[in-house]
Amino acid sequence: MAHGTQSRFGWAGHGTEFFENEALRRARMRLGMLTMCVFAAFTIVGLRLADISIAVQANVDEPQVTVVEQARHRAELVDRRGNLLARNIEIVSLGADPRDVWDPVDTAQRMLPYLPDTDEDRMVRRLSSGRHFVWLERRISPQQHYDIHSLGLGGVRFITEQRRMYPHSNMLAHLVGYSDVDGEGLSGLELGLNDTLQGEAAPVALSIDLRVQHALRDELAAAMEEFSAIAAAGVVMNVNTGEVLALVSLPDFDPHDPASGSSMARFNQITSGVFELGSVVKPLTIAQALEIDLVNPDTYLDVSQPVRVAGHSIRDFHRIEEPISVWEVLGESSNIGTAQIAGMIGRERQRSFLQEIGFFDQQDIEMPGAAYPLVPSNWGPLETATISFGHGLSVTPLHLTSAIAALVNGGYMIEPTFEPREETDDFARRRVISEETSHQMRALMRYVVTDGTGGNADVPGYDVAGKTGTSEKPAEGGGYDRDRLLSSFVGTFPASDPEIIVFAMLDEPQGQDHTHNFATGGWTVAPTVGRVIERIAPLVGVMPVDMEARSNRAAESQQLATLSPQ
Amino acid sequence: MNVPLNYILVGLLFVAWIGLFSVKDAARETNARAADLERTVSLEHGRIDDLMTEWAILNQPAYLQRLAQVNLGLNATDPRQIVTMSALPPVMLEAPTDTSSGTFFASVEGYLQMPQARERHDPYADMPRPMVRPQPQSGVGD
Repeated sequence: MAHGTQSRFGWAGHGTEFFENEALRRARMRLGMLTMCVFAAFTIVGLRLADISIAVQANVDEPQVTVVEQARHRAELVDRRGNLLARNIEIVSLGADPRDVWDPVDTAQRMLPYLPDTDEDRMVRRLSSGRHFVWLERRISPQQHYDIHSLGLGGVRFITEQRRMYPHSNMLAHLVGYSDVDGEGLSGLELGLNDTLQGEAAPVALSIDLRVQHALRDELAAAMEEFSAIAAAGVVMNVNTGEVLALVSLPDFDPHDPASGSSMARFNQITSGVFELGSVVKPLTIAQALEIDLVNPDTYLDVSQPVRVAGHSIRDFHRIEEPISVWEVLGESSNIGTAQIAGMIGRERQRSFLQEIGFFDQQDIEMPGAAYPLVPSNWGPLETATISFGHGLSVTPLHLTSAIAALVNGGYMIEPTFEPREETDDFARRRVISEETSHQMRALMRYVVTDGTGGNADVPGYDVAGKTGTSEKPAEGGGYDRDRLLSSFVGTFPASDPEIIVFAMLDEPQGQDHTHNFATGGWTVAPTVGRVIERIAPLVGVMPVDMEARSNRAAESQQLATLSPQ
Repeated sequence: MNVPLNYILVGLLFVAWIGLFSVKDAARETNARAADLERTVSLEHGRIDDLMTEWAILNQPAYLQRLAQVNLGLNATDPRQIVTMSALPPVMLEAPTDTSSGTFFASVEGYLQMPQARERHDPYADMPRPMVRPQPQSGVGD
């Protein structure tokens, strides 16, 4: 303080110059610092402006795109050969938030070249509406999405949703089923394999063969039309693995719009329907009688008179005067002969055999909604007789198909499956009849086709073995209705070593002129199964048997017969 | 006050800031390019999905069947159209003069040497048959 005062007043003149220079220097320095700070601040502001404008330019689309994922990941479904059956596809729809649209007319005009079906006035009206959200175009193509996206228009929104797509539409409606918008399976294998489909990244393969499925559906649809039936259904299965290769239930529905189908169309007759299937059940009775040595194929039975059981008469479709062998009981589909054989088997043994082949239980299959059989509560002598030829016990067609498969595959009951399997895989096989009985059953069922009611199912070279079935549907007031039939046929080929089994049925077929007005299984369904077999045999790799060898052998036996003494 | 030091510090600050800005800008550009690539990949995936779905639709057996029947006059295979090599009658060919393609002629030679009388397998040889084959009675039963 003292020094400062002295300096200020003691060294005036020279001292003033010094102070002026120093003050100037400091002022300049401060000014320079200030200028630099101001420059730095303006630079920061300028660069930040550039930064923001660049950032907004680079991400111009980001704030404008609203992606709404409406479904979780769901694996593709493919057939056994990798053909696509169901997949999720992304569907993009165009919308807008009119509050963010700068110029509705300009926005509409810039988008319109990419939306040829959209009306300009309508779009401008929507864009000017002032609402929070308006739809502009549902389901635009990926190219339209890309083009409109590139315009970078304010307020435009893209809504992405996942949708399950079934490229074969109705063809696999009952098999594959469908799922809802949230990606949850609702019916068919979409429901049955829901957890697998939600957990797997890779496509999930089914045992189905698309080509076999088409052949079966094509032929069933043709038969349904030919015989004016109200419904038709069929299944193709590998007898040695239980793999279902095709499953059709007609009428069917569009899995993209299941609500448009009638309740009948949405009903899977093969796994959810139970029917009194009629004579197609007879091979089971015959097989059991052969297995426990009650008869052999050459045992003769007198079927000339109706069988009286518990006050009821059991008759045949047509009367057979002469005694017939077990061959003909099956070949001519004799109810009387089968009921006689059931009488020999008896109630208890019949019940336990049918239980063993799964006729009392719901099938353990991947398909949801597998039906429980309808087993009579009172199983008396009349039921024993009628059940032996397929009346009085209702099972699903898939129950019957797997049971008949067991009769011809060497005697093993195999639970059907919709997932691919190899014969060498370790899966449950339960022996229900011996190899020997199975061998006899192949011959007996082949006889049905060569000499019995199933002749229309034969395909030269593939040696179909099978059994026809015709049952009268239950009448509304009790009893059975003679005019409403359920006609069916179960066929397997080649008879010498069956690989594939085909079951088909027609609900209420009408006889035609070319069938002499018969609507029975042998006239209506057997030819259908024959045509299915003719079409699918080359597809599933079954070689036709050597026709030349057979004709040589036939010629030889004829020659021997001619040479032998009369 | 150390004036040069201040200048240097402010200068360094400025240089650091410029450096930071350019790194940030480069990162943003890379991000933008990555986002662009991701968008392109996603679009391509979408296109592949669309093509696969379209292929599945075009591959519908009913559609192929109609095309084959209408345009090519094809029908379901007749079992008589399918034979194995062993079932074909042997064909006598002239001895080849050109031996450059050894494999082909070796196979032809092998084929020519096939036994004339071939063993044929009848899968029904051991199948049971009815003792007396009756005439079919109607074929219309159930």
